[in-house]
Amino acid sequence: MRNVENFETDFESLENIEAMILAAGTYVRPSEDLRPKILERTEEREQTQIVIGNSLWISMAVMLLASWSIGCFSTPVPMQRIAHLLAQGAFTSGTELCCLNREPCEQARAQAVVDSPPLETELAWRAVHAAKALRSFQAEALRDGLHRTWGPWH
Amino acid sequence: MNDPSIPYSERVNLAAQRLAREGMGALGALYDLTASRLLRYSVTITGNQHDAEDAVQASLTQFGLRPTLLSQVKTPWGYLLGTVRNESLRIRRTSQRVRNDTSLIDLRTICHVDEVEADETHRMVWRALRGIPSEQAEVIVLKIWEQMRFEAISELLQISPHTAASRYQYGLRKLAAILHAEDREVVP
Repeated sequence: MRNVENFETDFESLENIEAMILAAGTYVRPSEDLRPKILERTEEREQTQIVIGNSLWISMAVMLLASWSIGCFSTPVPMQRIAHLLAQGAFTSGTELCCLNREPCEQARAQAVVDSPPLETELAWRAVHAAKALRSFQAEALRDGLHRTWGPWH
Repeated sequence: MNDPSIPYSERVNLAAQRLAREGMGALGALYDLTASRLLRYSVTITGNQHDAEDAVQASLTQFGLRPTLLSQVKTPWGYLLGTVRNESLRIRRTSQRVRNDTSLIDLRTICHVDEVEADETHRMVWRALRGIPSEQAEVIVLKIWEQMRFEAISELLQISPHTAASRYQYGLRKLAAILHAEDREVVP
């Protein structure tokens, strides 16, 4: 056990030590090149981030543009002719729509077969079948295009 | 922002807000205000100035790249210290550099011509700080140099205030013993 006198001496000594430590606080300084190094590095990394960000946007835009152009231009859908035929009530089944593009379209054919005889009241239904077939055809064309461009879909 | 009548932590708040407003252009001002303090804290953890400068650089670069980050936290100065501490600990784990326990050869110091005696005392203190465990040294640095309370230190180091206080007491006694021993060697 320390007696009171020792404790006070000890306490005083610790106070002196604290004062010594406080005075030594400003003794160490950073190197001269640390400031410019930090500013340069930050600027470099900021530029790199901007370039990476821009590249990502550009590649995304290119990807979207490519998939859109594949869907639109590689297998053009004769919309004007379809509209004209729809207006005349020419469709009896989805098969005819597929034939317009001179490509087999099994899925559309299976979905859009209508065996009932053409009636005036069924004109609207023909339009529905034609639209369904058109949608199937577009989906298939887009899928093929994406598959050719980007490989198998996961 | 450099008005000494404003408390230091408040000046750091202002620098953080300026950084958020002006972006990277205000990073130099934040550096001028904080680098010396961050460096001396980091040196007590890493054990050499080269690693400490790497830690300060990594931390300030991070805030330069995300300028709004510092202004969004409750206590920017505490957050800065915490970031530098994490970087210092990471670098200490991975660095190949030798931790200087007794030598001060790695330190860049300010030596005034008319303060040769004081210079020797400062060197003794820095050597003594390297002679005690870094867990105790960092509490002493935060308490004496940064004038932080034990509650704030405990928050920063994620220890209890009681542990912080006892690390401080043990560290200070060890420092006193080392300094007395050195003093006896210098002045027989």
